[in-house]
Amino acid sequence: MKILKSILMVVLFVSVNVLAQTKEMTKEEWQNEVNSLTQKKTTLTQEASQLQNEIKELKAKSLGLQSYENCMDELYAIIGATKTDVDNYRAQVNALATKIDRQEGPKNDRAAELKLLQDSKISALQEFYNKVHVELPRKLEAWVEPVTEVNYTVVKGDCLWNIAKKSDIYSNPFAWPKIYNSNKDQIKNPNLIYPKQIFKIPNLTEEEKAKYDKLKSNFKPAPPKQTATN
Amino acid sequence: MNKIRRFIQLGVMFLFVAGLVACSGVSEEQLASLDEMRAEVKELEKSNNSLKSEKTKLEREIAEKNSKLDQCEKEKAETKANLQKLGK
Repeated sequence: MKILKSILMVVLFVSVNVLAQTKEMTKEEWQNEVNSLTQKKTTLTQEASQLQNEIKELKAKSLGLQSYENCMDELYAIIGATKTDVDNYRAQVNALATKIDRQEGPKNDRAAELKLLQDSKISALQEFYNKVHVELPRKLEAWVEPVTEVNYTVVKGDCLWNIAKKSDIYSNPFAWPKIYNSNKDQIKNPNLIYPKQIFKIPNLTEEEKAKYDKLKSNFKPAPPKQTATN
Repeated sequence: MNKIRRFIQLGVMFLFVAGLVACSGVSEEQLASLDEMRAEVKELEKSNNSLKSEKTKLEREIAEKNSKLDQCEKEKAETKANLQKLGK
């Protein structure tokens, strides 16, 4: 009998446990969850509405902003160029920078190219300004070209002025003193030179070139002499 | 014999109580409506998350656009100053 009683107790215990585990929701629990979900739903709906308003405002703000492309067009208009011009200019600057870095001579040609780039209004763009007006001129200045000396054989009718004027010499007659100073051992009087004399023609330094170019540009030929008429 | 009967009675009572407990829960319809509400809340949460993402994306886009425009305006001012320096 005791055994039967014990078995019944065990069955009762197990059944209560099983029931407790599989117990369905009570009405109170259901109501609590319904309340909680309703509240959550209300909060979420309000949040959604607020988010939608904010998104609407942000979209309006985004549409109201000036487009970047327009701003860039305005920038290019300041320098009187188009995007293509700027792209081409960038390519030219990069090509020249490479040549200067590699010291691809003649240096004068590079200087002329740089001058062209500096003369362009596009060089005022911040992207190029420092490079074109500061960095590259500095590199060019630091570039020391090996002095190559050319010899010139005087022919009949030559004078130092005309020799210096020749395009394969200095292309600048005002640079004649350079020839004179370099050949003083042969030239006693700069006004007197003789055929078959061989003169050394050294390269002009940047300073000399600038000095003689300035003289040349400032030179104003004398007005033609007026002849007396009866 | 009486004791066996008593145990049987106890068992029946237990089953009765258990049945009573089981029957005091919510109806299937109520459970279904609860599930529906849960689904709605879940859907709302999902939708709000999506709206939040869209808002963040728009804010980021506007910030990027503003940053680019600021840069462009700065460049315009610098270019004008450079042109003046160059005398052009």
